[in-house]
Amino acid sequence: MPPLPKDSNLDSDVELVRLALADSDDYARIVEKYERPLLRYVLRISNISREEGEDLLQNIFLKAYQNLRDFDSSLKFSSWIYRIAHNEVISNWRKKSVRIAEVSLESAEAAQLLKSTLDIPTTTDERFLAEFVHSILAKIPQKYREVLILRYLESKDYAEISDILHCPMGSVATLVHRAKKAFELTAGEAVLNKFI
Amino acid sequence: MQKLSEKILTEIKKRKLAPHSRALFLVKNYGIWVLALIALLAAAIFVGTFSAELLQAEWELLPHFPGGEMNFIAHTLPIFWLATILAASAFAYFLFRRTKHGYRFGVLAVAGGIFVASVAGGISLLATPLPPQLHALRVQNFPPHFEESEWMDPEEGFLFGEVFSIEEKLLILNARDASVWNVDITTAKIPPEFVIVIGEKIRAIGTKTDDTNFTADFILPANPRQLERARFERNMPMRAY
Repeated sequence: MPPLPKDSNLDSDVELVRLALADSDDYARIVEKYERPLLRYVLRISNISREEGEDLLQNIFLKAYQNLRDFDSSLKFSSWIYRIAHNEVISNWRKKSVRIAEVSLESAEAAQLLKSTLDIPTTTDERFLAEFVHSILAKIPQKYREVLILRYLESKDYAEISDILHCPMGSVATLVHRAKKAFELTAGEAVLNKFI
Repeated sequence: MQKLSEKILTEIKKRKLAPHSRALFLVKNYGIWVLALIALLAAAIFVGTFSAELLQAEWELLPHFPGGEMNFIAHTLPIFWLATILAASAFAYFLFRRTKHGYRFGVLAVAGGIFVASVAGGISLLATPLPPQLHALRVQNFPPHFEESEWMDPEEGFLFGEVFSIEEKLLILNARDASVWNVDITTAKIPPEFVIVIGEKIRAIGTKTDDTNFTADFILPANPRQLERARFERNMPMRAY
């Protein structure tokens, strides 16, 4: 795979797709661009090991490759491939018939999520905070957990979340609002239980 | 350690994977649209038939119907067509949500759109012979339930029986309970398409004047659907007594 010329428009996803369709070797560019964010997303929304996550990621990229001609350039490529990842994670859960009980988050991510959802200063010890956020996320419903991760950790806007979760934009706004409320409520109860 | 991109390219080559053809996705995407439109068209046809059946119902009998207004509605409401409308609309909804961008629309927008389109389509189809034909087919294959006994209650103003003889403005009726009645039809409303003949079973609504005499306000064929079918077949407008 030759290096990308600097003046080209090859970092455009549509162009990358066009190249990958012409030559499968060029699909490596797409994999390289998305492997980190997708692995992070898969691990965040599912309770699987890194090794399992990488296997899942491989399936995601193979599936995306086979369906490359179904990519609609009116959508963001990232939304399209996140959708495939979302579906693969769900299908993996179904195969294993397990409910997600934990979420993989870095301490800094936990702090970021807590700050975004509860609007509180997060000067507390990061490790404690991460554990706290993990326990809260494990308690709220999966639909809320995923939308919080997409919105506040993956920094997706409502239109992108709508394309990834396949629900109307209005419903995304409602979902985010309810997810924040659920997070807030669960966090409040957890704090009360700890101190009373 | 092998890079993921290399592993994936190796896997693609090993399994000889290739992107599916564009035609496959076009067939799938357009196929869903075509099926959704067929379901919508079916819903519109069923709305047309439902409306036709409602329009042809014996609304004039509403205040006089045995068992009251609720019984009239229970007998008149085309439940069969209502069920088909709901099934076709639900299928159209299901398919529309599975089109490429169908998820972007809210439940109310999609359901409302299907409702408006099927009602508009159904009303337009009322001008065609399709709804009456479908209705006739349904009545022929699944005759509606009709309870003769409900119409045999002279005290309440209902008579049901077979015409024994016809005099100028008087019918001799062999009633369902084997009693014989002189039915005065001087002021009775009779559907123009209904020709009373000897041996025909009829319904009468009116007032019992004594044990053998009855003054009719309405004379109708035995089965309400009989009249509807006659109207549909003759493409007659709404009833006119």
